[in-house]
Amino acid sequence: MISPPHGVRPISLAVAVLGLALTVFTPAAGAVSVDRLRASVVKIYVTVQRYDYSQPWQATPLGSGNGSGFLIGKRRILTNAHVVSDTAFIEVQRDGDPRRFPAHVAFIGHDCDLAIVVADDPAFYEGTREIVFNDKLPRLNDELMCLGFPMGGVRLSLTRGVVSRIDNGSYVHSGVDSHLVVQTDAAINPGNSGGPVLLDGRVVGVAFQGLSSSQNIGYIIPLPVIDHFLRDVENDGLYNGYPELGVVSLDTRNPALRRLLGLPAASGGAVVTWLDPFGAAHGLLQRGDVLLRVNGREIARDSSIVMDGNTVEYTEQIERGQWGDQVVFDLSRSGGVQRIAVPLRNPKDPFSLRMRYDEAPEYVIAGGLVFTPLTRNLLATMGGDISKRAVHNLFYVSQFAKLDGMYEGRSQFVVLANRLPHPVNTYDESFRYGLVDTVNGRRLGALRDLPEALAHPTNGFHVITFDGMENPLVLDAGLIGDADAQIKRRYEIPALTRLRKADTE
Amino acid sequence: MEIFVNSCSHSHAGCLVPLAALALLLLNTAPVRAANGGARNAVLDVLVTYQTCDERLPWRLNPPQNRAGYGLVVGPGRILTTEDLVRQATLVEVRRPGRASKFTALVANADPQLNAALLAVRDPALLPHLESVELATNLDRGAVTRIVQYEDSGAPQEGAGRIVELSVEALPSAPSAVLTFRVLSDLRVLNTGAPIFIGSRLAGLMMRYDAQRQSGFVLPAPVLARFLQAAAAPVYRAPPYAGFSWIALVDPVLRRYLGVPETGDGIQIVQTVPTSSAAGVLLPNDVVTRWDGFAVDNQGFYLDPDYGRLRLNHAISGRRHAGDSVAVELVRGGQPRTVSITLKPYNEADALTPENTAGAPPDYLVEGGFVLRELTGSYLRSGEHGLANANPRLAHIYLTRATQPEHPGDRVVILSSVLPDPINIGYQEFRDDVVTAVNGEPVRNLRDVVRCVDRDGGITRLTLYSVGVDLALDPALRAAANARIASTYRIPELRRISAP
Repeated sequence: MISPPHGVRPISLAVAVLGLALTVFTPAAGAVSVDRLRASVVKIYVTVQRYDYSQPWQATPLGSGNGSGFLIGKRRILTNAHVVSDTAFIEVQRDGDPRRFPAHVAFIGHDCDLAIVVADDPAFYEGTREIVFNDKLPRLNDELMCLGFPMGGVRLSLTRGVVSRIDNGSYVHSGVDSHLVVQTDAAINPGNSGGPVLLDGRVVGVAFQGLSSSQNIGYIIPLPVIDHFLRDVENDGLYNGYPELGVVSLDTRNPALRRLLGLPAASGGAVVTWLDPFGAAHGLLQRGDVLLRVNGREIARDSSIVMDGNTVEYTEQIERGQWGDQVVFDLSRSGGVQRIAVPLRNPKDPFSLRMRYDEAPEYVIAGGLVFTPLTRNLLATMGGDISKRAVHNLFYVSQFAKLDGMYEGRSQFVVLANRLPHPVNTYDESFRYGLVDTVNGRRLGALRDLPEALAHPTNGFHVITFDGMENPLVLDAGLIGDADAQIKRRYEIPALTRLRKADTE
Repeated sequence: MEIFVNSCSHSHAGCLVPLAALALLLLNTAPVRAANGGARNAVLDVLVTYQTCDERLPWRLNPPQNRAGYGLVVGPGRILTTEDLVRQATLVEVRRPGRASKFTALVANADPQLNAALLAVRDPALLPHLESVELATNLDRGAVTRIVQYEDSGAPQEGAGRIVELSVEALPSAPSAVLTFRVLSDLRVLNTGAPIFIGSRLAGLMMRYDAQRQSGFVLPAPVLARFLQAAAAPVYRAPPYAGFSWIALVDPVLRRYLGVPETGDGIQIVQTVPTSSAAGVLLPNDVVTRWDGFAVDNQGFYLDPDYGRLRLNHAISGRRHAGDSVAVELVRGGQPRTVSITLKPYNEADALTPENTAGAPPDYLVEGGFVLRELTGSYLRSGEHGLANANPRLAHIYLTRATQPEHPGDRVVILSSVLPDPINIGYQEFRDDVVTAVNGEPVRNLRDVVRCVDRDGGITRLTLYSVGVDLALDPALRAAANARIASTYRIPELRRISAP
């Protein structure tokens, strides 16, 4: 929710008026005064430049915007990952101080939409104050205060609302993750992103996203997620991310299912129905295992456990775990009960298809055909072409590759993402967005296999087959070299390939 | 004038008009009568009440809706119209334009692949003074036609229209491609089935009119004639189909790769349908250069003796009948060869995921609250935003394997949804999952499911693709649960299994 440079709406004006009233606002008893908080809240200016996934050798046009952040000690400014992702330049500014200070990203967690930014010049920190975290999750109807720099004005803005809901929810920045979120009716607008949300003057969350089609539905990243991020960073100076257990399970509420699984009438449990081949539990748990306890906590037949007096999904135990921790399951397998420890890790899963940021996309251009790995970013460029059969196929693969076993023998899916028109490829437009199966008889396990496959033409042709298409794309291997030289010049492409080594994927 | 002419022409001794005058009158009016009288006297309003089926809850019909269009009398009590007008009809009525009296008609034949239907009125005497229209036998690009529609008063509106395009196109209401033409006309045509005449003969029925482009999309007389011919047989004989998909073969590099000259005739075979007569006879990457004596150019056109340059589809299904054998010349691996294909009629039911173009109420089975059915194209298109929002796995099967069952009779059985009930507690989130086995036995279609259920007295275990644990149901609860579910969800019958 970076505010656009223009686009003032009436609702933003109202926010600005409330912002002016800030100084006369009296905080709740025992809370920190707003004037003290003012020294902790930071406006973040960004210049955004993203990669263009349909023309992956170049960047998109520049964009600019601003978000919010707050000081948490050690000169660290906590904000949202989406505020500072794909940025060419970052500046931070304190409320009331005309100076802007260049800054850089020290840590970023795309899976939890949190980042730590540090100003380059120590002078920025003079007179600042680190904010104090609350020690508890807010409860429904608790009154929250949001500070930040939303659209509609320049100075610090304050809005208030209550906790409307506490739930598991999706974190749209990565496109795939979901964690605990707090919903509030406090006005959260573009530019609020990364700003602190306080209860009794102490931080209980970070404002991060809203529901555009609704009124007064804003979302906050709550303390457990912030705490997870900060502990991860503290552990080894690196952000490893949330571990992925990789288990899909089913409630055992159905008595007939319980009988089929041989469960005693009184027991609870969640039965494992699928294991992610890239998850931490792969090779340790099995399909059909009934998970009875996690870290000693009883799993009810609706897959819930009791934590801190709240009933939550058993997966919350994994949510709280860090890379290197382990979770211990007591489970029923083949009529007996076993205890299995699962070391939590965050395996490099090439098929989770998180949005990618600050990462130059790989590509290979051959005969003016632009091949790239299948990424969520690429899918985002083809929304308008959803009626095409090949695009449907890509959306299917992006969601079902692991479930339907298509990942085997691959670390990437390779897509013909674009065609740079040239006589060498005049008749090949119908293959666009096709998922490459083989090139010259060699199955592509990843994009990096393509140059090698192209080095072995089939009787003077390059024969490329695509998933779900019976007819091959055929290029004259003898014409490719000259054609690509012309294409490189004509379309001003700095290099015909950009590939990473396997271990840096 | 027309009544006078008609009554005279039908009168005998009682005619008071002097003979000489009569002769003159007939001479003068003969062309007019042919153009306006007979043609106009063949047109009827067709008023249709129809009900679509709720694909998610297939025992449920959506509220009745109405359509209006035109039909043409082609014989005593026989009325020709477009199939999409009478699709899913619960009541079809006809009346003379401008008249109040309506007469019930039955759909005698309907072919969604040709978009043509034949209606029958029980007692032709109820619709007196009607004449049968004859079909035009030749259509030419550039020919001037006359389009007719009627105001509520019965007054005709007529407009001239020029045939601007005669081509093989996909129908607006079916996936099949047939001979069609377009007319340019400034008569804003409102209803389906408006007749287009060349002289007194019917040149076609309007399927769609685009007011912005002033262009009408017409089902032409040759297709209608073919339909009437098929309908006249004791058992309706569907037109043949090719059973293979093909693409243009223009790319000189691809042509060389496939062993044919860079420039020249021939199309590339992409895939054959396993149940068709092309299966095993044609192979992917064959280059078909000649079909049934016609040279096929590299874009898939041939020179039709009647209509000029047309797409190959018309040579396959428009010029031949099911059962005919045709010679096909092709190049395979650089070697020319000739094969023979005996054409089969198209049967949508052969598909792994039939389209259900006709919108027939689908078969289903509700057992323990599991709503089980077979995947069809119309099911996938029924949700909001159609195929774009359909379950990606099901859409993938439909888009890549629709015509490719591994074995004849294979269908994709799905758990469409679960109707919440105590018997299926814990399973209520499942929907649009592929069912692979029932009670441990693999199932290939809904009939297999029904057989297992009837044999075992219900579903005890349902196996879903990629769900590692069977969904178990308690057989002791089955009877009470089915009764409760039927009552709670107002399901008149817990199964609809049509005859094979």
